[in-house]
Amino acid sequence: MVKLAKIFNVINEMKDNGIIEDYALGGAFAAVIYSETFSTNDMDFFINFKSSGLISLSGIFSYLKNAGYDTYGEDGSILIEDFPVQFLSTGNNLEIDAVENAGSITFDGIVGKIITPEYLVAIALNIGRPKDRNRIVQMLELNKVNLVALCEVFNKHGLINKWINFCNLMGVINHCVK
Amino acid sequence: MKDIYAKKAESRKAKANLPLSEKLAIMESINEMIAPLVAIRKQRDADREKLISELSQIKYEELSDEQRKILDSYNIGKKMAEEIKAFLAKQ
Repeated sequence: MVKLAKIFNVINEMKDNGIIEDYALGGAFAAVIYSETFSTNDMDFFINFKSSGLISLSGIFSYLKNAGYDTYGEDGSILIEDFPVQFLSTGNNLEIDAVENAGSITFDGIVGKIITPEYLVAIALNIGRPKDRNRIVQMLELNKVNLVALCEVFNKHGLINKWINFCNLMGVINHCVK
Repeated sequence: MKDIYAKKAESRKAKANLPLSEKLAIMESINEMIAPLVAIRKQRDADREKLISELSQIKYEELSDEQRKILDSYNIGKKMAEEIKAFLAKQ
């Protein structure tokens, strides 16, 4: 089984050692933690780097190599405790905000950071692939999303029109006022 | 009918609220179950890439009459054969 606590431990140490400024688990794996289980083959970690430093994932990979993790998957993921892990440098204010406002989970005594349901939905809306749209519907149906907080994120990041289009397309009730 | 949907919704909520360790165990068994299908899909994608790469290397006018005949009669539909011929002619 995926060694979630050990993986979080590795990432936490990377943060403590200043390799990254901050991180949060996102993507499908985070959605599984909040909702029903489905198949996913990797973990996506969104990474914030120090604003003054050079934004590069190479520091992460050399750190992991020194820690004994130097096996890569076909899709560029790196195996940590035998599970494929992807590091995604936050590419816009929404993702940076999602990491800064991340929640936490505790697993086997280790605390890890995880993107909140509201930001997961906002990122999925922003990306907009069919599987992202399905993920939004699933999260909403299971009442895992604070709708007031969700609307605040949409308004803050200029996603309200995208949200209205999504609601019209998917038959979802729009709780947000433009 | 409403009862069925209500029961399904309840079941999904219960699944969403399972302990994380149980969810991870379920995820692993799902991943194991679909692994052969994932392998087939990956092989199919790789085959398609290889075919596209090979096709892009071919020049229609350099084909022998026999090869052209095979291409023309290949059971991929006349329209697609015409499209491939046009594509190759441009190379």
